[in-house]
Amino acid sequence: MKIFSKAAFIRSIHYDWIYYALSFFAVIGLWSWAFGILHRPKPYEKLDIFVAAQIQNDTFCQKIKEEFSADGLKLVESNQALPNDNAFQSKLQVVGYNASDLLILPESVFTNIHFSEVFIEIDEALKDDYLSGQEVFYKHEGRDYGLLVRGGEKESWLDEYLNFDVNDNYYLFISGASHNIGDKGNYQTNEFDLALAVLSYVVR
Amino acid sequence: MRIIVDNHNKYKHFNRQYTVALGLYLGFSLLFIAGILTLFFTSKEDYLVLMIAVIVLTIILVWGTIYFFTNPFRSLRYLRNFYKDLQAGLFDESVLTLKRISEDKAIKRGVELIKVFAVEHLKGQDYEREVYLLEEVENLDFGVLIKVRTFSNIIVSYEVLP
Repeated sequence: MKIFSKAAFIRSIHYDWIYYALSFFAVIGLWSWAFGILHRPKPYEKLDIFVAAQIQNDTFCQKIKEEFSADGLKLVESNQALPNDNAFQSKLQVVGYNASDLLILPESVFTNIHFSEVFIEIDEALKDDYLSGQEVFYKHEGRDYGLLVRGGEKESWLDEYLNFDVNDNYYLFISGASHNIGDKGNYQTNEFDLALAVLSYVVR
Repeated sequence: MRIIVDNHNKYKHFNRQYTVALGLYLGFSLLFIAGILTLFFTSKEDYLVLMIAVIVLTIILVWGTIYFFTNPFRSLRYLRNFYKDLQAGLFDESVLTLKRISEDKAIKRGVELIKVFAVEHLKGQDYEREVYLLEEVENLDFGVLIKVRTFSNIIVSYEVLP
């Protein structure tokens, strides 16, 4: 009798080929997924930008990533919400405040925002360390919170990527829920400050 | 009475082979898994080549596992159980005339058996029948009336009738 038999193997293939075929695709799928999970950017290696305007072309994320890749930035993602959309406030609260590092918001939506609760104040230390001194700020109750992106006389390099309302002023805000703002937000991650590092570049 | 399948120590032999095969499989599998996981967890950001290597190794492991459990291990399990059952089994007795050995092999649960064409003599009637041998047997008595003892249609022993 033969334990190892070519004939027996060929015969078994007729019954078992489906297991060989399925396992082939399952292995490729599972390892691709596992490697993706293992090497996905950490919260402090990526930036999420919430934009309250229509995004025509999201390659501005790629430009920011390329500019700061040497500092450890691996991924920039953007989310859009239109201010005249019924779900805007919900999206702003869930995606904007909780899951974004930076927010680009028009002045027309500021009425319902509690700035001190959700955004980081741009204090003197932050201005000295991360800004160029050319920026224009949005002041609320005597404190600076936003950086002017476009509006009035100022144009932005983002004009070709975002469909801004030309009658509104847009400001860049820093979310307190970001992992990338050193020790200024909810997380004590002193060494991770990518969201602050890109401020001047975004509002230039 | 000519004994074809010697049950003596056969169960022990196949039971040992069964255990060794399982042990070898587990040993090699653990080595493979350890290697694969080491490659996975030490991979850097530029992981494409390493991922392909991990996929290839995993496919070898999975296909090897499927082959092992559907072929050699299945056969060993069948033989181990066959000899275990043989020790306490109920045998069939038939009166046959062996005709010839088939050129085709019979495969039963991965075990390649030798197929023998025979004619069974039962209540004055002749019926064509196939019986099997586990291994080649020299000087098998063809063309004569024999009383065969079979287990699971496999010839265990026979005696030539006068």
